[in-house]
Amino acid sequence: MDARGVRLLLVLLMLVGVTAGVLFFEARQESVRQTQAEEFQRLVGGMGFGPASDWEDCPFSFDPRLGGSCGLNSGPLPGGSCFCPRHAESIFSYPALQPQHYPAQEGSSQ
Amino acid sequence: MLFLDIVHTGLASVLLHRLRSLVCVLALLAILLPYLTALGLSRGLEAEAESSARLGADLYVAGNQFGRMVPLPPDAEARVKQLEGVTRVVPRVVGEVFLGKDHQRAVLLGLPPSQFPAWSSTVEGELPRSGSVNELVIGTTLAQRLNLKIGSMIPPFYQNEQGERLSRVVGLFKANAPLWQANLILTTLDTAQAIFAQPAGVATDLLVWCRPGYEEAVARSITWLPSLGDQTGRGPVRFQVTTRQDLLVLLPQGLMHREGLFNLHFVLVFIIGILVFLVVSGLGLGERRREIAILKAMGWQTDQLLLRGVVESVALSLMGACLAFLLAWVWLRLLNGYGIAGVVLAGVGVMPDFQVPFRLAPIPLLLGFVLAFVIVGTGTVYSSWRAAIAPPRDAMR
Amino acid sequence: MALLDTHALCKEYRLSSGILIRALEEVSLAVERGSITLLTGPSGSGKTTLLALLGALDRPTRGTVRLEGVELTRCSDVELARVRRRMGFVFQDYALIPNLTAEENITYPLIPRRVPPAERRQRALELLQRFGMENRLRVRAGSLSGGEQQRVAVARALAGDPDVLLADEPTSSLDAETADFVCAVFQEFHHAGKTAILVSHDPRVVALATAVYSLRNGQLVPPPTAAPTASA
Repeated sequence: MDARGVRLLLVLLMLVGVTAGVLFFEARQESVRQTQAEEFQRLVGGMGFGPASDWEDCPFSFDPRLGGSCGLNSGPLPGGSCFCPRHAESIFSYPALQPQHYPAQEGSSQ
Repeated sequence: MLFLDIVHTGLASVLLHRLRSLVCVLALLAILLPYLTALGLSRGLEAEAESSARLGADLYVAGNQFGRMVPLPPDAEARVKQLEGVTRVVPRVVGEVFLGKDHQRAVLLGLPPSQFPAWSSTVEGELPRSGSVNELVIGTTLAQRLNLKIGSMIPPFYQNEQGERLSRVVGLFKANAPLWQANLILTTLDTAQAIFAQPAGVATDLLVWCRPGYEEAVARSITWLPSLGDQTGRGPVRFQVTTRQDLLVLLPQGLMHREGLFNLHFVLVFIIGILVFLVVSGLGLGERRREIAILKAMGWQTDQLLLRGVVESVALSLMGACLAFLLAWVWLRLLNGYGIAGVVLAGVGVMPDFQVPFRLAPIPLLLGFVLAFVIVGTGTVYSSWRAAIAPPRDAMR
Repeated sequence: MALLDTHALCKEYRLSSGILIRALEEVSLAVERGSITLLTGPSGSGKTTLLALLGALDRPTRGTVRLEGVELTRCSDVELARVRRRMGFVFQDYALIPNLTAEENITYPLIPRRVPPAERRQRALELLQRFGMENRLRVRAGSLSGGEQQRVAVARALAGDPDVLLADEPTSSLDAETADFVCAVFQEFHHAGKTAILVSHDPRVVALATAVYSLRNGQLVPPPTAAPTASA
């Protein structure tokens, strides 16, 4: 067998092995992280859903439950959502919350 | 045996053309590293967002006036509690406050202390209690920026007609808790009401838990409840309900937006991919063409030469994909998403003060490998095929 | 029946300037089994082109090349590869793969011949020992001197135990002693009943020939003659 081939094969096997090891390690870490996330969410009663770590300019980007939509979102203009700095900063962007089942009129008519 | 021998020559070929292999792997890293890193981050965020919806309350009830969300008056809790199917109602106050001389923005969250467990693994120190001093649990970014530690005292940062009080940091959120803790201040409901100068009983929203299967019925009942009285002098306040399902519906739409941005990334990938293609098929083409012609003259068949090219491409693609994955892991796990976290997460600086959420899964790695193989394989196999189908003497010129 | 024969063989090239070059015109010859056939002629007369066509390394513009009666111009890629495995080539510019070692240059052509790895290495070692190059086994071909490269090229051509050896100026870069040795190797090859087609101006090589074809401006001139010093 070609010595160069063997060398490269060993390097490749090592790379694949380390990659598999990292995947395994991350799979184990995932449960730790999930436990932390669960504990946090239970403590605060469900907080945060969006890609922002604070609610400067756009509470909606922090948690849609705190503001049903982004006030600066100028969609459907092309790129209109990027008028909101929070949306322009992240690659996650939610449309406005639209509770589907209960129109406001129904509530007011009762 | 012949197959294995050809495979070995294909592997050796990677080391024979070192410059070409190096340029190829570097180009693959340029394509795959940002892709795997950003995808890992957004998948981490997706997982945490899902936890937030799944582990929160069944329903979130807020007030609505003029189409905007407004706080709920004190009698709202009692009216929701009496509905059929409701098991628990917890009032909550959430608002924005400014701390320190630089007016550091923070999200203040107040919950009844009875809702707090005795101890939480996401908090270092203690959980807040009601008392003569405002007790606060502070997020990691706030603690870092305001240099706060457990036991730190914070002078009054709000105005209240009934007087202001000192605040004490009793706990710090741990860095591995979800990112939304970074700028969060957790305190008791009465402290939050005092900080926002609101009367007792006022809540920004109610967390409602229902008996299994009753969520929709309760949500409908709440929406149909008569408007709340005009206690603030601004007219009646209607109930507004957000269900867990409403949130979960948003998640794939947010992902769609992410996919759109990843498509942009793929445009970039495509451009770099063309460059890789040119490099792969062009770098040392003359030398490679001659090498193939010599082997052909010595009795190698076209299919054997193509197999050699495929093995070489697989080796380069595997190397590129694995290295990109490992570097993405180093970037996210060891460097905590330095620089790139701010691209995926809003309001996050170059160096996040919390452990960035990420999830590196085998599927994106596999996709990365396939993408790399398509690019490298096309360049290598096509140029090998062109050289192999020409008469050896022509290709040797 | 001749081992190899050509009939009205023509090869034309078109230069990038559009000028048509006739490298070979109406060449018909026969190479007998077990012969040493010499192709002579001045530079540019078409010797190397004819050698390439005889060795199935190129396709003629017109005419035919036949190996044991099988027309090579009609062979598929796989069949041509099989034909080439029966031949050994020594190119004028040696055509070694510069990044491979001397040993690998000899063993790579043995891979499609399905020679086991250990035997491949053994053959390479034996041949290089024979050519006095056993200490250059693991040296990159690109680092070898011209003479060394030529010896490796001859060793590579012989490694596959070919039926036909085609060599283009095989002694051009060799010192007298090594050239004599290479001629002796060719002689030995011939004594084993095998066929060699050589292009050379070296009197030592010319002396080995059992048949000589002269080429001028791509044409055979005059008709084939028997070599005066035919051996064996």
